[in-house]
Amino acid sequence: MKKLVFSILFVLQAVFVWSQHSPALKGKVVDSKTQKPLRNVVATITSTNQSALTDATGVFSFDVATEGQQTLTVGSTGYTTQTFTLSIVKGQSLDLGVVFLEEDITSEQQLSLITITENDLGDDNSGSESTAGLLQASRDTYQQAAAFNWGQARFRIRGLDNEYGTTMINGIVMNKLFDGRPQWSNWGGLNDATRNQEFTMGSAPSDYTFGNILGTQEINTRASFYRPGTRVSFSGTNTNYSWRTMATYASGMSKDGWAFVVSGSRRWAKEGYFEGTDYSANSLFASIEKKFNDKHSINFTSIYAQNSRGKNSPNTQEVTDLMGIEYNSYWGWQNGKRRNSRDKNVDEPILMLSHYWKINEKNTLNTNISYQSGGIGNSRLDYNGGNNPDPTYYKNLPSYYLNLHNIPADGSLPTHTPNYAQAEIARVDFINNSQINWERMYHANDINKRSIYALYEDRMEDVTWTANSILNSQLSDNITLNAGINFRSLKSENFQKMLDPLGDYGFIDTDLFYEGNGFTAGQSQADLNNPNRVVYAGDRYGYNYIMRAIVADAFTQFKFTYNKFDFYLAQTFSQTRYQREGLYRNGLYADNSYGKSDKLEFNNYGFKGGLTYKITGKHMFSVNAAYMTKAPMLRNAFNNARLNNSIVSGLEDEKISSVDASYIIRAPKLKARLTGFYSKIEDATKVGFFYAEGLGAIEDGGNDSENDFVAEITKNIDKQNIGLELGLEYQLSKTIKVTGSASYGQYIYSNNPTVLLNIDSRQAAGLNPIVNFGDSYLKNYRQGGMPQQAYSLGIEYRDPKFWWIGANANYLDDSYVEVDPLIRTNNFFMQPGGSGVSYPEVTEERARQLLSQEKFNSFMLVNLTGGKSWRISGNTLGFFASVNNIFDVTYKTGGFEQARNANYRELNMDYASGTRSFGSKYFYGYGRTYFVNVYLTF
Amino acid sequence: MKNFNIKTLCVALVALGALSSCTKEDDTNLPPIVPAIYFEDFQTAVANTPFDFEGWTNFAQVGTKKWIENAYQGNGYAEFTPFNSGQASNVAWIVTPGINIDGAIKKRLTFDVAQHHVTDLANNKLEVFISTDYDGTNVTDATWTQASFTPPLVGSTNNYDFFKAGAISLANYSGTIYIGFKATGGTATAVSGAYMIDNVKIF
Repeated sequence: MKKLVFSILFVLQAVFVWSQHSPALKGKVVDSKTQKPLRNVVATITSTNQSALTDATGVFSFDVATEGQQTLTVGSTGYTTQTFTLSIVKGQSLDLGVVFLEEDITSEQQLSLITITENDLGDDNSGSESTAGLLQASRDTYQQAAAFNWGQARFRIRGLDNEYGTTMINGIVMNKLFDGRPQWSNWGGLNDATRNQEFTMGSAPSDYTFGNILGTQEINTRASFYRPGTRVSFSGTNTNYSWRTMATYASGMSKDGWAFVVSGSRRWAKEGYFEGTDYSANSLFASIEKKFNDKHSINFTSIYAQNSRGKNSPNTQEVTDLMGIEYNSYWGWQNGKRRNSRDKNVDEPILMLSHYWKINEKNTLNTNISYQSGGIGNSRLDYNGGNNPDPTYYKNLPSYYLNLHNIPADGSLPTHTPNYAQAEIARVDFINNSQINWERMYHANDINKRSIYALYEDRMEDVTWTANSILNSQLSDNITLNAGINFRSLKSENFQKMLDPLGDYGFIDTDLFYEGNGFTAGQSQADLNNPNRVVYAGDRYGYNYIMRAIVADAFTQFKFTYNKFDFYLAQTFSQTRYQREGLYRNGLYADNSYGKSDKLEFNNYGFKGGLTYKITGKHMFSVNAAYMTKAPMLRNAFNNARLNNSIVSGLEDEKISSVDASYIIRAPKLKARLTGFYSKIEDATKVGFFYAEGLGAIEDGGNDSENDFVAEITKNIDKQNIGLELGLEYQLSKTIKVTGSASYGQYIYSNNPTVLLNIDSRQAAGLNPIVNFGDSYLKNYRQGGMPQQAYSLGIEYRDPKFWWIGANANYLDDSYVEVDPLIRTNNFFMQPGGSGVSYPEVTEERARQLLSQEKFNSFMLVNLTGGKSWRISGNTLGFFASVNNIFDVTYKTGGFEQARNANYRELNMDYASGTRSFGSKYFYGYGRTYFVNVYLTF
Repeated sequence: MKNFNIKTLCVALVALGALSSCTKEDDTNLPPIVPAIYFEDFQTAVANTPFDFEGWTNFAQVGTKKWIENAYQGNGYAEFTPFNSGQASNVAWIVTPGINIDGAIKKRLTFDVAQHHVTDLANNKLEVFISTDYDGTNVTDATWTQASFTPPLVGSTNNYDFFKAGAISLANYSGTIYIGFKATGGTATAVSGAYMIDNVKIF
């Protein structure tokens, strides 16, 4: 009996000790360099998703832990995550001792990355933005390869455009309603301030939004979340800018509950990698938080990023052969200075007020209000009654003379009549006059006593209000609820703004093309309510309208966490409304340009779910599936929004479905993920614009206009993306890590969409401006502008003495030109006026050659990175350098077919000499580039 | 370990499924090519000679005047003119050779048509007929179905100008058909205008 009492006492004592003094698992986290304890580091037992934060002394502890083999991860923003395999025995306390976290070198790499992703070379229509920007701070091996190694080659994860990802700042969605893409420039250069990020991949659940099928990025700017300290850095590079300087200070939470962060940066270049691409960006950031008590905190964030840069032109093969890949036709000398005619100016400050409410231990509610204003402008040259000032205008190039034909009036086969003498004259002339001639334009304006040539800006000035509330609720030990409501309102003013009439005279706001013989009086007027206006710098002209959009959405998400299984289910509903209001009564569209359009309304929903099966603590299998509908983006809802209110007929919601399955290994030495994915996007709509010449060939018996602004509407586009992605990371020794990543995809158009053109000159002739070209035979063509295969192999050596060096080799393949839908319609073979009969010279073999999709050469990119840091009296001085594309490989990142020469005969004539006048235009990647960064933290 | 293998298999299957459903690069289709299965441009016409194109019938139903071959500035065509025929009424046909239209994609007939000096469209006209039972010689024995087309503009400024006759649908026909061009006029000035046809095409 005595023995028994003694044992019971002993057991009770043990239990007492276990619950009071000795947690099941604990550890202390310190910075490997400074040896200082780290606060707010997250420790997670992966099998149960149990997590704990370190306190001010760097200590984390778990009171209870499931016994058996467990995997523990310890990580924090700016540090590499450590993984441990533990054996937890019931009743025993396990102390890991001191865990050293090493500074994450990718945070330095991010600085170098941004220079690549921000360079949205994309033409207004081509949509060739890289998705890598979404991933800059991700920890996934594969995603890092995608961002750092493949991003420069415009690799897109899963072949998806940015509009299928969700980028948020404090839970506020930053994807624009206009095109669905985030405008990275809005917070560009503020890498330090936007470093707190959370990612999800594919349709995996995010705590903040239902999201889409590419993944989510949530940037948190809550002031108390920043590591206190100051950081100053200075960089030099030869990408789109030359110099960059950045400084950031974070105060940490003071005793009376205040925390603040300020950051500023400047990036500039007189000339970036491509000729004539000047760059100037200034960014400011401030965030301040007041903690009222344990339950309530308020944070105010303001971001002001100004960005102005000269763009570079995509060029045809002919132009590149004559001038080289760095050639840019957009600039010209003026008074000894390079002046670019195509500048992009982004200036859209963001203000955000956030309220954090910890209702109780299990419920938090985060409410945000955001206001964003400002504008985006893209400049270009206008010419009203003059010749096209573009030095690469097709009549200036040798190919124009090399492809000359004698075209019989009776419609019979043209004969090739090249003029070699003229071609040679044109060649010499082009090489001597390969840049914009500003002086000639001033002179022309001067002698005509009016502005024929002018520099203007296509401007979009948005005011966006967003409000949202996000609830996070621990319903039970195993069930978490995320729910959110979101409201967004946009007023977007779109207009042409005169920047510079190039001289002393004003610009008459009429379109001379629609004046005189054959046209009705008034057709040339941009605004009948205010005809024959003369405009000067700062005035609006040409087109002027407002787009309004209102989006309200809500989502709920339930996450279930058990020992062996985690699963989740989420649903969303949204309502979207669009309306256009014309501020001008256009002379061509007098009846439907001024005033408000019909209202468009879309109701959309989505469901998703997924399951993770934890085979062991180290091996996991997970699947995700999603189905949703999505309202067409604002830019794709109107036939020709610049000029009139007409809505794309039969406009449909996109239907999006996606499935992926992954096998994941998270062992201390080996981290691996293999994912297979399938996604399908149906009924997408795309409206693109181009200036066309010689559309008479397209239209049956229409008038042959020299300079026609045409909207190309492609409806019911289906896309199918299938592929595999693999990421492997193996710690070969304490100092050497090898990584391998692979992406094998096939991204195709999976149906034959419908193509319509809106042709203004038809409206002028009293015809229906919309011409339906019927089906475009796009099925099984590849989606263009991205490598569909990418492989990366890297090795990294990290010396204990705080220096490291890494190298990676990347092979990219299966990149294609973006195909033009118009030339793949029935119209392609049709003889004009022939009632549908094909040209007599058509052969299937030649047609296949003409319509085959150009595949770009595969290429290999080798990159080197390295860095070192020193500790000087408690401060860190660091140095980071990278060289990308060491072997200076020339490669195409994308390109698009020109929609001109839209039929078989015309296209054949364009091929006659072997040098095409209207060949595809290409974008090139950077050759060898370097990036050097020096930083100091104290 | 057993679970491990099953799951590996699952991933492998998904991967295999993904790869096997891939399409080849040249799996694309061309828009439909609509070749002309019959095309006569009369380029070998010898000016002002009796019309005698291989396989065609040249037949005077009323009067004796027949169609002729003609050419102007390098363009050959078929013409019927009752001018100076000396006969009050002239009705003359040319009929195409038998054309099997089963290979035609759109089943359409087009041709170009011109006139000169036509003033009375009711009595000095061109008509188009289609037959499936014409025997190649006896025009009047065959069953002819009239097809409508867009006549050329008349008036002196339009003389000799070719116009598109529009598309005549052959959707109701299959097998071998014959197209007959029937011109009507006479020697009187009011009805002595001529008709010209060119570029007869079936596709």
